Amino acid sequence: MMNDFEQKLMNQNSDSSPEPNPDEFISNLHGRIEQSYHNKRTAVTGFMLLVIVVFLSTSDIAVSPQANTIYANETEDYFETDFWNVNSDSLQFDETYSEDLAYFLMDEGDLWDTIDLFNEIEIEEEITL
Amino acid sequence: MQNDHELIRKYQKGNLSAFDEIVRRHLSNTIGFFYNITRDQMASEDLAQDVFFKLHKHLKNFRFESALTTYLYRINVNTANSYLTRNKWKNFLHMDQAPDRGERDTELEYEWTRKELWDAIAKLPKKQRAVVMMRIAQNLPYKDISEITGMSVGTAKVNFHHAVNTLKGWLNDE
Repeated sequence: MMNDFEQKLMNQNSDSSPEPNPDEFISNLHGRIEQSYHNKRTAVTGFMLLVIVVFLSTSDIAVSPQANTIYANETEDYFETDFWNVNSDSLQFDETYSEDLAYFLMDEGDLWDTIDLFNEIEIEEEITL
Repeated sequence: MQNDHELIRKYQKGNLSAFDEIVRRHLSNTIGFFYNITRDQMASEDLAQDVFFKLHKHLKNFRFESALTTYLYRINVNTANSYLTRNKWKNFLHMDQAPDRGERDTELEYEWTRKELWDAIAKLPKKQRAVVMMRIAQNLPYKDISEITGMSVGTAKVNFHHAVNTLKGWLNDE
């Protein structure tokens, strides 16, 4: 037997609830599901990037400082500017080689050497003419 | 017309429109459940969306041991529990700038408002709260409540009786 208070509680839901628009609701629901997948993908990608960054950082720490020396030596070999062969072969090479040499001298701060190099090239051109 | 289990099987095989059909079938009932608690159409639709979102996530692992409605009612009750707990904390932290005590029901002329009632229900122990929610917001018979909650019909009745007495005391209803 239901008492008065219980009856009042049961009367709480006597009102009719609003009729939703199913198409709109389903469309919103699909949007949310899609968003959830997108968030999941972003989180996984972010995690992978983090792992890669951490891996690269730790592997970089492990590399010895010898690498810098190797780079400097290689650069020197590439431009062939060890000052034993500058006088002997510079004028026999093409224009690109001369430019490379000039850039190198400029980088090294040897401005007068650079001007000398250009003068040498000009004299050489006059001689060959 | 296909039954719920057939639709779930289709969905599990990759037919996404079967899920839409399930939503269409249970939408009105689910929104009605939350509307009886919130009296706010927007809030009830948001909560219903939470329910179907959870359903979408878990339906792939549905084991056909119970009816979909039973499964859905469990999600409804859990979602409503979270909503009531959230509201309880909101009230506790005074996050509402102007506390809304809810509209007094002039037709029924109760001594308490719906908001006061649901705030009180939020304070009930979990089992009692679940039974009260299903009885009041969904008008479910004790037999269905016992199936959903896994308690016996007698236990469900006792829980409801205790809850009603507690609420009566809290709401000072004579």
